[in-house]
Amino acid sequence: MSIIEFNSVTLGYANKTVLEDVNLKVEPGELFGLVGPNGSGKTTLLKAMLGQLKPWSGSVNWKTTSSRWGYVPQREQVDPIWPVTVQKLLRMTVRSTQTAWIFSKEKPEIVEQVIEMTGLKKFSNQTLETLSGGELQRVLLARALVVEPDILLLDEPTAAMDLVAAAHFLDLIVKLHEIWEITVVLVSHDLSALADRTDRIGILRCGNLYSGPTDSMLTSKNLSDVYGRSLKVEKTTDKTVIYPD
Amino acid sequence: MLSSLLEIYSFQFMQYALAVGMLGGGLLAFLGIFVHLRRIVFLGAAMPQVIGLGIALAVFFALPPLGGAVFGGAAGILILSMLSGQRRISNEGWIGLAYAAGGSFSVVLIALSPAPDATVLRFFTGDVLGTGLYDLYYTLAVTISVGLIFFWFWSRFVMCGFDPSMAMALGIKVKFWDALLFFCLAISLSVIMNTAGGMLAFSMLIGPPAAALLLFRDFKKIIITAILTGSLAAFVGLTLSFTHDLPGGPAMASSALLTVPLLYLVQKLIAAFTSLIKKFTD
Repeated sequence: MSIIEFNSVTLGYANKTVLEDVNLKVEPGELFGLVGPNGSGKTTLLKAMLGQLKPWSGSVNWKTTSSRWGYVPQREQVDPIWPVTVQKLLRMTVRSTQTAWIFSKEKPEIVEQVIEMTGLKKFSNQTLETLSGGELQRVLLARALVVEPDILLLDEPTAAMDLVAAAHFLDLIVKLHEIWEITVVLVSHDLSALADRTDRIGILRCGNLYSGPTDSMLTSKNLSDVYGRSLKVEKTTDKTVIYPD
Repeated sequence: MLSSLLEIYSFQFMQYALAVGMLGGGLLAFLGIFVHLRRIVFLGAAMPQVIGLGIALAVFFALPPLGGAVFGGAAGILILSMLSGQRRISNEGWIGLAYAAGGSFSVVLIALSPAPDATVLRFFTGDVLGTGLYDLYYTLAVTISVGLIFFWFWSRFVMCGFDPSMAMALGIKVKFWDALLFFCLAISLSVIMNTAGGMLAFSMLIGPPAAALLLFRDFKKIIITAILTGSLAAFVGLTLSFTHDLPGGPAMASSALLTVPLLYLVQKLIAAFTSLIKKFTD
């Protein structure tokens, strides 16, 4: 059974329709990429997946209502004015999934494991405003992981990261996906990065979603249609490079 | 000095004023941490005006002022939350309108009110020396209730403020917890304003937490410092008001606000002293 299933879903805000007749199945354990130009509805679709935006028509079904969701927003959404260290933030996140603060448990072993895995050990006692953009993004990933999610949703996590930091971050996601067998939905503008790392891709264009295996979706023709200019897809032995012609 | 203090606080009205001031100061200083961190200071400024309008309405219709304060606070939060997210006017715009409307309409209502001026003015300028046993009970009840709510659900309030999207993904009902935070804020402001005036309430809400946030980057230390500073400012202000024949509410409010430059100076002196010692020991 699909972990998330959209059946003829229409989504929008106020009087504006953003996405129409969306049909999508995200299967357990897959790494699904989502691409599209600015304003095409990527974040809208993520919000519907999270249950934060109700469809105007159609239905969104989840495998179980008890699934744990990990959400990694763009780092600009987080306000570093909050006086918490990395470790305290992660512990607080674990506790906030439980009912009452005084009876909740911090599960330090999970927190330590995630800190280790995301390479945050040397920053664990630092407050958020002292971290660089890439480090803060890793903290947000760690925060999504400490709840031991079944599904991980990432909204343009590498936006505004330099090339090397972005590659490291995406490799970490792939590693986590393989080791923890987490279902991942990854929204990104970096087409080349998605081409080599995802199982399937969804492309948003003119209010519609087209999805399929990554190889068959990320073609020059499809991408040129979506972005309105000629894009080249070149494959070497171990890499796919997508660039404007 | 101790005997002078004991003499000052041997009067029952001073005991009530001290208890209400310290409880209210600590409570509002604690809530003020969220007001600062959630960047809703302007809402904190508008709320006393809206609550003042509630009090003015109650006085105009010869109803209990505390009821008017609570009604004004709750209605203000409800209306503002209904209007937030409206795209043509920003949230700040609505809060500004509430601030202006609360301030001006309450003055008009007071002018039309049949109640004696001094009775009405007490609610706006604050007459903490006029507090009685019931005021103390109300303040104590609100302080205990708000304290328990935050003690029990601390991480929910922090998660909803820090990153609402992740909180929603975790299944936390962000709107509910936000509403509860604003309700706690409205009720606390209503009770303190009704007792000690809007100026004192807003100063306690903003001053001590600002001082604590300047000093520390750790939640526990910030909370303890804010509460202690708020309570201490109430004590210092009230004592000075007695010894120097100053109005009680404004003296306490001034003390609360003076904690910001004072603690900032202390922080700078400690930093300079520490670096000096380090320089000599290296």
